[in-house]
Amino acid sequence: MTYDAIKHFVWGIGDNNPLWATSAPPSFVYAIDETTIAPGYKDHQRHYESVILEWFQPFTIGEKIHTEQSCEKEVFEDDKSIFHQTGKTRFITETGKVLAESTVVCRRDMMPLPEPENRPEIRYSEEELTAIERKILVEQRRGPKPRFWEDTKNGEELGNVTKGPLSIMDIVAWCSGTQGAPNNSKDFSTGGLLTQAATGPQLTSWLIHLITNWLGDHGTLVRLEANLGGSPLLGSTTTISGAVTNLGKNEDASWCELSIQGHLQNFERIIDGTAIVHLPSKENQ
Amino acid sequence: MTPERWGVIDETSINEARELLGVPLRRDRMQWNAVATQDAIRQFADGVGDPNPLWRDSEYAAQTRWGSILAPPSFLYSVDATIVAPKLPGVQWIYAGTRWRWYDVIRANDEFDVSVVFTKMEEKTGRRFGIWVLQTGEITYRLKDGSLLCMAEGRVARTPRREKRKLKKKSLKREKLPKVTYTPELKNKTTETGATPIWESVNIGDVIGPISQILTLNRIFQWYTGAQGALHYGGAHGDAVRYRNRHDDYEINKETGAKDSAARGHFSSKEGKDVGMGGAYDVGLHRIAWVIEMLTDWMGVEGHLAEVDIDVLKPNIVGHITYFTAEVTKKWFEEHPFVALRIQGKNQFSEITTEGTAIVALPAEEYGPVALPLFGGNPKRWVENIK
Repeated sequence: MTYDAIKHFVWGIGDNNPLWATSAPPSFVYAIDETTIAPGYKDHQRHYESVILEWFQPFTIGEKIHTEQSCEKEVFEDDKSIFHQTGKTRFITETGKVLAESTVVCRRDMMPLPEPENRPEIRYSEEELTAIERKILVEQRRGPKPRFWEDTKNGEELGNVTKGPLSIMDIVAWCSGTQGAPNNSKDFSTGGLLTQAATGPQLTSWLIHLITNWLGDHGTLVRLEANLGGSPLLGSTTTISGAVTNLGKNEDASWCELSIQGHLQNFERIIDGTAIVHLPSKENQ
Repeated sequence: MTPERWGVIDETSINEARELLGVPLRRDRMQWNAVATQDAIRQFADGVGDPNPLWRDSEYAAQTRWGSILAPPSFLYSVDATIVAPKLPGVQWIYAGTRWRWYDVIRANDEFDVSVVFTKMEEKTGRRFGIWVLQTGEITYRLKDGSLLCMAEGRVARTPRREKRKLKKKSLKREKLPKVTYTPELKNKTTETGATPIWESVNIGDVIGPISQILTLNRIFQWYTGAQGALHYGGAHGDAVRYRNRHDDYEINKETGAKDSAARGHFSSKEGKDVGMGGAYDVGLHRIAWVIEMLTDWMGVEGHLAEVDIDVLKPNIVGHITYFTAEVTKKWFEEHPFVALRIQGKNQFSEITTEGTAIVALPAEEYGPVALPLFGGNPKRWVENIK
């Protein structure tokens, strides 16, 4: 794990938080491994359908991290051509510390991918484009000022992050920060990459971008569960927002539960997430 | 920037750019790699498509003179891409060429300090673009201990965008060219990393190649992921929006109507045609990295690539094959035993797309292994001895 690798990753999600000059965002797991475990059935598509991510220890720059993966189960629907594979990925240091773990369900089916042509919903008016740009430019980041648990209210909104209209360069940037070029020779031979879409790990990283913006430099993301119901194709715009839905305190920490949703520009809901974060407490000051 | 001024090349916009001549330029967010880690070197070599084990295999590299993995000389494109194209907002930039001078090899875990000065601005006129400008920058790559590793001169053409050009439609049409028929041997390049030639055994007139390289979208994508990401276009998402607000460097995406990156022409035939390139086209840096690959393959482990000066003359389009050759034109000793080569790249229609020269220092029976750094790392001695 190097400064360059973190830089490439955060550039890939368009997150210019200065905190990432000295540490890695929780989503950095995806720079190490995309966490898809969906072996076999090469004629079936892979859809990153849901993920549970848990973080146990902070990442340290300079550390070598490897993964251990296991395929947990395979559940078929009544229509046997559709099934769901679950796999776990553990992110482990050279000394054997488990830093994080993901549990991912992949839907496998043979339904054709949606064609990107004739998609009137990706044509924007001047006003819509200005509004999107404005939303992006005013995104709030908490930064170094601690967000104390005591000051946090149930129902408080998290702000939002907006990603779009999705450009091929956004996809290039994501691939450059993670697993390199996709190996999709079919699309590559037709003279264009128009069927490219943001992937599940990419959406999850956008979601985490919202959480870390809200959390500030002193909070910690410990658990995230996200259901992903669609892939934004090129030209689409995804806005992610959320709110505090529960608060509590136990021996270890003062925690908050966050509920997060992501919508496309046509209001189609494609992300549903729940996160647990730890916030600093005034009692420990 | 008023819309009327966007993309305009005239006296005012040229003079604005001239004011920056000689000024050291900031390179915030311009550095893909700050350190040549083994991961970074492997990813870069994958981006070029260069399988040389010297860049990849620790055990192999341990048996060589260097004792550990090296980075290909072109790796420095990922440290600073040599793109120096200040001002002229909205005027598209096309990479035109590089002159590299490497004083030493790049070792795994080298860390770099880069400084950049904008050095030259030439006004040109041409059939294809009308008035255009060639901007040149000097990039100095040092190691953290201050020692000089390399100096590069990067050249960028600034050309009016299609809608701003006042040209007859006819002159933009490319000649209809025959379709390429693929044969299995064209799918992969045909070089193999060989032993180093001894200086005495090399003769003027010796020819390397032709080495064939086929351009696919996948290879363009791999170049991006290994060498630069989206950083030359401001990055992704919010970063790109903030960049465009600062630099006015964008194209309008015809599908969405949104401001988008001009680099889209590298990924789609349609967009590439829209910007006047005739199809999805390659990254100039990548093509020069192919020339460097041919030379490092030829000179083997013990040779040292001293200089490469290449002009990217015509776009290379997805599906095209480039045949690279190098011919030895000169052989001499001045502090080090050198050979000079003339480089050419032709596409399958025999159009010359790539042209330039190279200088290689080779081990010699009389003088032994190549002593590095070349000329003791002194640019003055370089200029005096290599003309």
